[in-house]
Amino acid sequence: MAVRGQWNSRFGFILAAVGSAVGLGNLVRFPRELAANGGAAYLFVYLVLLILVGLPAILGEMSLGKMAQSSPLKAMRQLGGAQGRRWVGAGLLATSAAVVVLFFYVVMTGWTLRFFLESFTDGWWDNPTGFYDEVAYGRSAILFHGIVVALMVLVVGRGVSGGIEKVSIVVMPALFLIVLGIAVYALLQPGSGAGYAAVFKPDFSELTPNSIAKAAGQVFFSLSLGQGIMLTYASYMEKKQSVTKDGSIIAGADTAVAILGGMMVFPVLAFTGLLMQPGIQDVLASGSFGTAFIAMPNAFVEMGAMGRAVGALFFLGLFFAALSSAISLLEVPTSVLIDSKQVPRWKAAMIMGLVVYSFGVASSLNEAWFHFYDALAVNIFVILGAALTTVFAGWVVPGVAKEIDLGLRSRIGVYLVWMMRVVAPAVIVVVFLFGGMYGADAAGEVAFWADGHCPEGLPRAECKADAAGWRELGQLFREAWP
Amino acid sequence: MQKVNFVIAALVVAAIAATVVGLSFFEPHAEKDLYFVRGSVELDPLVANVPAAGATLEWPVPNNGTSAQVQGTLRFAGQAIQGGTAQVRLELQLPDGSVVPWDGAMQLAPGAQSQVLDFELEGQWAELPSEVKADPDHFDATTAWPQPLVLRVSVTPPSDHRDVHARHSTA
Repeated sequence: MAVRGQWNSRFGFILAAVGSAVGLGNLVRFPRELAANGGAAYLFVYLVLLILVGLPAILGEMSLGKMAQSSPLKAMRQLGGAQGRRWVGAGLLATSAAVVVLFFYVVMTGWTLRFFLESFTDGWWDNPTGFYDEVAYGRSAILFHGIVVALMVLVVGRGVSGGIEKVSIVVMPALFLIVLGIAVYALLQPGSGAGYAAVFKPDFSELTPNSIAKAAGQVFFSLSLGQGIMLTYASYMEKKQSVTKDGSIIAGADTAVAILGGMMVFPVLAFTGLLMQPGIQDVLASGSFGTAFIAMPNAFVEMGAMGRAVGALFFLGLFFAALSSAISLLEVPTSVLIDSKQVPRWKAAMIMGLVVYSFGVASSLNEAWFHFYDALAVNIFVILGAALTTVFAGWVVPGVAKEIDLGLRSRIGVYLVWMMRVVAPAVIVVVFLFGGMYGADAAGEVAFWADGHCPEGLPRAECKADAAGWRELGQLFREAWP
Repeated sequence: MQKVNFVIAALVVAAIAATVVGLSFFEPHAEKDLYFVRGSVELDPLVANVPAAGATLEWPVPNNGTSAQVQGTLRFAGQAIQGGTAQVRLELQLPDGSVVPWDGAMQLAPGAQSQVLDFELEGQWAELPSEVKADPDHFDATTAWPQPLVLRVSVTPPSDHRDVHARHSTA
C-alpha cells in the first residue's frame, strides 16, 4: 500500500503552490497582456476578477483536496456522496488537463534550460534573433525534453516533502530574488521609464469584452486551476491549516510575481532601446515565446558584457518558474496512480514521466503538435476542468464553506461558495465563449524580410503574429509614453 | 507489482519507439514559423552636379532588398533672367529592370538665384516571401541583386537657365 505524503511545513507548502502558480505566464505573458490591454486598467480588471472568481475557485479546489486528503479522482468520488461516481469524470478531466499541458509545457521548460546553459556559450549571444528558431524544435529539443522529464521524475519520485518541498524551498526564493534583482537593475538604468509606461500606464479605452475575457483566462491559468494541482497539493496539508489564509497568500504571491515580471521585461527592453524598434515590437506582438526567447536575448546583447550575466539569470529564473510548474503538473497524475492503483510513488512518477516523454516527442519535433496540445489543454481541458471543479465544490460538496472559514474570525465561506456556484462558472463560460484563455482574435500573418541581409543560415522568413489584436501593439507602444 | 513493472517496461519501449518514429518522420527542412527583425537600410547619399542634359546615379542594392524609397532635392543655383519652368524628369530603375517615372516642374521667378524641388520615388521589385523554406543545408541562399538601383535625372531648363545642381539621398 503506497503511503500518501505530507508537507513538512506550511512554508514549504506555500512555496510549492506558488511555484506551481508562477510560470512563464507570470513573467512574460502577463506583462504583454498589460501592455496590450490598457496597462493599469487591465491590472485593475485582473485584480477584481482575481478576488471575485480566482480566489473562490482556488479556495474551492484547495478545500476539496484538504477535505478528501486524496487525489482528484478519489476526492470527487469520496466527496460527491451519492453522486460521487458521476463526478469522477470531472476529476479525470482535471487530471487529463494536467497531463496534456505537460505534453507541451515540458518542451518549453527544455527551452528555458537550453537558453540558460547557452548563456555560457555563444549560442543565443551570436544569434539572438534566430537562435530560438534553430533550437525550439528538432533533435536537440528532444534531448532537453528528456532531461526535464527526468528531473521532474526525480523530484516527484522523492515524494512530497522529500522532493517537491525541498526543491521549492530552494528554487522559489531564488526565482524571486532573480526577478527582483533584474527589476531593480532595470530601474537603475536610464531610459527604463518607457517600459513602466508601456506596462502600467492606464488606458481604459483598451478594455474590451475580449480583453476582459483574456484577463479571466489569465486568472484561471495563472492560479493553476482546473488541472487538479491545487486540489492535489492541498491534500497534503495538515488538517489544522487554513485554506483561506494559505490560498490568499498563494494568489497574492502569484500576482506579485506577475507584476514584478512587468517591472522586469519591458523596462529591460526599454533601456536597451529595443522597445521602440518596429522589428522587436513585431516580435513582442508574436507572443510570449518571441518575447522571452527573441526579444530578451536581443536586449541582453545590447547590454554588452553585463548582458551575459543578466541573461543567464533571466533564463535561470524562467527555468525555475517553468520547472516548478511542471513538477506540480506531474504530481497530479502521479498521486492519482498512487491513490487509485496503489502504485509506489517512484514507479507512478516514472510511468507518468514516460507517458509525458512519449507524447511530448511530437511537440519537440513539430510546432503544429506543440500548438495542438496547447490549444486542447488550455482552451478545453483546463476550462472545463475549472468549471466542473468549481461547480462541484459550490453545489455538490457540503462543508466547503466551513472549510474556508476554518481558522478565520469572520464567516466568509458562505459568500465564497455562492461565488463558486454562480459567478465563477458564469465567468468560465464567458472565457470559453470568447475562445479560451488566449482570446478570440483571429489569426493573422505578418511577413518580414531580414534586416538587409539574412539572419544566419536562413534565406527567407515569415512571422505569424498570433492574434489580430496584437497588431495594434506596436501602435500602442508608440503612443504609450511621450 | 509485476503488473506495474510490465507497464513501465512497455512504456520504456513506447518511449523509445516514439523517439525513433518521431526522428524518422522529422523533416529538418520542414517549413516552420520564423521570426526576424525587419527594417530598412539607409543607402549612402549621393551628391551630383546635374547639367542640363541630366545625370545618372547608382546605388548597389543590399541582399534581400525588396523595395526602395528614394528621396532627394533638386537645387537650382544661378541667375534666372526671365524665369520660367524647368521640366524635371526622373526615372528610378529597379534591380529587376522595371522603371518608376516621376515628372516635376521647377518654377523659376524672374531674377531668381535659387530654387529647390523635392522629390520622392518608391518602387518594389520583389514580393515579401509568403512561404518559409528554412533549409539548413543552404545557409548561403541569400537573394542577391546584381543590378543596381539607378536614378536617371533629366532637366529641361527654361530658355534663360544658368545652372542646376541635384542632390539625392535615400532612406
